[in-house]
Amino acid sequence: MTPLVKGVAARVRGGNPPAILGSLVVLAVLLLLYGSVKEEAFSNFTLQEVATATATLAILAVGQTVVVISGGFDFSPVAVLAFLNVFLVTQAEHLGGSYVLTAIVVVAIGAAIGAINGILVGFLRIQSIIATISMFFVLSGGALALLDQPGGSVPTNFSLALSGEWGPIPASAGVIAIVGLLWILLKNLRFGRHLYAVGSNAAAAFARGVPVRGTLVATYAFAGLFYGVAALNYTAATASGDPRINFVLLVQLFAAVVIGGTAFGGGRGGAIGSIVGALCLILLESILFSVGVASYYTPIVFGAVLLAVVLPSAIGSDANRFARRILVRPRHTAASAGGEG
Amino acid sequence: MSAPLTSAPDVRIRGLRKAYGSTHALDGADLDAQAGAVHAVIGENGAGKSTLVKVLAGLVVPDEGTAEIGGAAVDLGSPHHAQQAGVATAFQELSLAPDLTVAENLSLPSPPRNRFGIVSGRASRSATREALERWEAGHIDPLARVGGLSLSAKQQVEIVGALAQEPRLLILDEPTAALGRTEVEWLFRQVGRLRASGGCTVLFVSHRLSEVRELCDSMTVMRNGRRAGSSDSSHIDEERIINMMIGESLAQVFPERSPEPTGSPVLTARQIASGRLESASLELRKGEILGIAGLQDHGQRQLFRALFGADRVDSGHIELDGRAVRFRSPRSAIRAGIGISLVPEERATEGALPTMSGRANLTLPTLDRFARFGWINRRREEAAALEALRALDIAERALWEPVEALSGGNQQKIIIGKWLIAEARVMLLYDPTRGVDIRTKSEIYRLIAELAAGGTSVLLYSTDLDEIINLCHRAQVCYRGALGAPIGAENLTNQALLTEMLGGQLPKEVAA
Amino acid sequence: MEVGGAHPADVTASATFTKLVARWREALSRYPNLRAVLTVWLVFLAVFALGAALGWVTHLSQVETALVLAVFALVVAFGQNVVILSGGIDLSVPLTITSAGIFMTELASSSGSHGILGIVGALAFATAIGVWNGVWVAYLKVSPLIATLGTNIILTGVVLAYSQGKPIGSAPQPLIDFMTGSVGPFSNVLFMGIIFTIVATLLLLRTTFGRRIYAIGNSPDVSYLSGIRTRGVTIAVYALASFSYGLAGVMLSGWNRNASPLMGDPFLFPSIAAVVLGGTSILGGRGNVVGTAGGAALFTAIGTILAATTLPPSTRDIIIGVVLIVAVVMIQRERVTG
Repeated sequence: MTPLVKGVAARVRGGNPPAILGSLVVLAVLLLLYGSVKEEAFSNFTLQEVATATATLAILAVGQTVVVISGGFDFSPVAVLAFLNVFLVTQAEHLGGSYVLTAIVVVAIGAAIGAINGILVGFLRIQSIIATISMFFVLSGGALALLDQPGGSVPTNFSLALSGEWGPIPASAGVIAIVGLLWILLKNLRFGRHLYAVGSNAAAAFARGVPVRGTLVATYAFAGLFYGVAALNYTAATASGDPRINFVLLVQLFAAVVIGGTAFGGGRGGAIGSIVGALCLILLESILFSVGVASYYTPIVFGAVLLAVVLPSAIGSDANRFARRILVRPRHTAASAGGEG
Repeated sequence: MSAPLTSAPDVRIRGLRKAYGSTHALDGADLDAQAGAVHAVIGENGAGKSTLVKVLAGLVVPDEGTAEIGGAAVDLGSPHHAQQAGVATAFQELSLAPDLTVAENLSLPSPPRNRFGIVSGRASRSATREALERWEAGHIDPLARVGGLSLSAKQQVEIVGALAQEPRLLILDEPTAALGRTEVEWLFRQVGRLRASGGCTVLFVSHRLSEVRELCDSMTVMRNGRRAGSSDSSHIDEERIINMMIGESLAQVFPERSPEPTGSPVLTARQIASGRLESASLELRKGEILGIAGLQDHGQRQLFRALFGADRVDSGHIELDGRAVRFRSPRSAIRAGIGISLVPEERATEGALPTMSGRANLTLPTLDRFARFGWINRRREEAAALEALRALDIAERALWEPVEALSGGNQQKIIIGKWLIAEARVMLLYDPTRGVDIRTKSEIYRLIAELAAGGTSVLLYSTDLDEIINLCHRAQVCYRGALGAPIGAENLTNQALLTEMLGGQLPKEVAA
Repeated sequence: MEVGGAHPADVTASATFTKLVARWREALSRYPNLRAVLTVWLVFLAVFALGAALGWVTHLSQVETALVLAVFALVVAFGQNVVILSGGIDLSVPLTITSAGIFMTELASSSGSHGILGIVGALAFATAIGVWNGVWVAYLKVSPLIATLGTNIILTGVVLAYSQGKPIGSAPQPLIDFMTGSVGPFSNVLFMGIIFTIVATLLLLRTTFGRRIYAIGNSPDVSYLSGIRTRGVTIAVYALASFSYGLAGVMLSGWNRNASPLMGDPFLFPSIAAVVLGGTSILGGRGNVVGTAGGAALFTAIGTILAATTLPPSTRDIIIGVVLIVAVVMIQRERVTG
């Protein structure tokens, strides 16, 4: 623990604090507000509610974070979610009732979808935005094809397994924790180093012998894997299938990633921050609801929070790093670059 | 240092060809380097040196040709293969990821891991620290984020990264480009150690002859993508080398210099400070070519930007025709008749708008002149652009072709050319011939001389001292943020300039 | 590129032909986007030909319907095109369209004046949104993706809050009449589309403003050092883009006779797709409107034709996705080798 604390302190002093700190501060503030505003804020019941609400967003955000660190953007998660959700609801019976097998199949399909994205981006060199938007279309169509109306159901056992309780803690929280640990594992594998290297400077990584294309395929595949886990959790929580795409979720997804400190330039950040970011968003929503703010104002607050979070880091140091990334440029680096030459 | 597992290899390259569209970067290039030698690869910019490096490093697959290291043909299809073959490269355009630490970068692509496959940060840290210390660069912190290091520290990291791989073939691509004097001496020491150990052959790619002479045993001269000559010794006549490099003798390259203009100054700077620039005073007279020299990052860039209104002037002031002016932005400088050719330091290709036509590039600052209520008069615009192209000696099709399709030299001419149309009275040229082939260089020199003869005042910064010496009427040196006093033409020598660039201390090995 | 002087003996068909080919080659190199643009429109025609051959397209009116819908997509895509040209991306498309539509219907139903006030007000409101976006990107240095995303989220809340429990008003009658009217066999909307494309193309290619948009998309640094007011141009770009979205919202409301809170949603991804299909580089700095028009048309055509078939909407979406991928890969290939 102490080397960790020392390391963090050193970085703060050195002017390069870990990205997650900001989101932790925000979280702390929100927890205080939450505790003071909501009745029985920390009761088992509300914790269960919060965990379930957070889980889908948080796990999706982890997947998105992986892609963002590699320097890309993924517009497909909500479509993957709908597709896998519908798949689970309609095809579960064909899998002979073994939940474990079903879960593995779903996650594997998610990873396969991700791998296709990765091939498009890594090998065919298509910009991630276009590639993932295309995949979005294909998957939303696929979801509709499998189930043209919201409906269907899943066995209660399955539902409880993933959205009930694991002993003293909500199952959703457990799933989030597992996902978080999985991310930490990934980050510390060679793949993790390659991921950050590619996101920071793909050309340099290539020159150093990093298998850039393979890394990108793995990146999107892992993202897809996480989306699959999110779909499992989501289906368990809603206990039904819905082929409709939830665009608001996509927006919240990006917001969670940004709040969590992962910059869209690539090469920095981490998924734990995105989990914190997701939690912040859910808490915010809950706080606003408790205070009596009508639900239609929440998007306004989300937007304001998103912009507020991004503002200091955008104006601050290193505006130049964005200039390397497509579509992320604050396009006036000349004016802001000051005397740097 | 551990004993080498294999002895140093011969290097033999035959017939390398690589074309990019219609440009032949390599046109049947050959090279022979003796085992254990430090072999120089020299040539002008555009001669094919960097493509050769990229091929050997596995970044670029040649269309044709073979490479043999130690007598065995090697497959250099990817960086991985190159590394397997024992080739390590320190790239000119550094292969470092800015967000990662020094240790994380240097342990790529295969950071040490424990038996569970988990990467061990501690192991890569200590391995990096060891490597840094072994190669006398222990002052660099392995935990430092590469993006925050100075350019010369980054270059050192890049070089240590290559050294630490204990390669059979070490390629150093313009390794001193970003290094200060002490670091250059450091590099020479390490190369010396390598040579003494006998386990490695070194390819030293450079265009700086003095360094080559000091460091290398033999050389290959490249021109137009192939070998123009070679020598087993580095102590051959400089004249001969230059002849091989450029195919003509130096004297013809520079035009006649007009007599030094007298008269009142057009542009004056009185002790201006801006960012890293602490104090600069100069007087630029009408029709004068005033040279600025200096080692990298000593404030010259800030000087140019401040004079153009691109950066704020913190103190001191600028005078135009004797009257104090303040440039809030480049727009006001342009309106005052100043033009600038400023190419970003890291990439020489971004001085123009790449996908836009030559015409669009040329008329960019003066667009309003060809438009009424925002509507562009194509005919007038084209006429003006055509005239400029003629003056610059560029083919007419550059009018509509995207500028990125033109050669580096022509692109540079267009960057300067837009100020012809703007009828700028003062031209601030910042390293205008960087990355330009020798033929176009002399055309640009002629252009500069003509401009000056016509009354335009030119402030010229160049990293090539020959340009300063042969083109300029006077010169001033930037050292540690301060601009020195003007040196008159009669005193403009390599020696004089270098002395000031190094702050007054001339090391023993500098060639006059 | 000169093709030599003519001798009397040379004036044969083949000489003229060679001359034409040479001129054509020159035009292609003069206007590098020409190839991409033509390709898109050719594919558009090919799609309909294919549809006809397969029996999915039976009536010329189906082509017309596709084109009409494409006009809406085009107007939106133009806005996105301008933003992408300048090097950014605009995710505030859906809610700008929607809020403009709702703004207009509300204003129109509460005032008289044939709805002119409503239309003008809606357009002004949309433009203001664009200025807001532009300020975030240009002055506050926030990435365009996040800035416009934030705008979209905020507007979602605004629209939700505003329309809560209130019936959405209907569009002013004169507008409805105009949007659904036609001259001869051709819908008014088609004419609007053609005029819009011409004006938009001229704006981008022949005005100083358009030139500067391309410039900052190519390199904001070089533009700045050439005296361009990069920040001002950027704000103008986003303002123009949002104006287009507002225009689309107004037009749509007239066409549909009313506005609805979700009406802008289906336009975001197609706007990006149309721009890319039309040959505009998503990296900025290269592209034009005619190509984007083609892209919009193509995109809509596929959608419309597929809608006329018995294929379920799901398969249509899948086909769209696959077509998009194939198209982008082909464009990529072309760019790398060309």
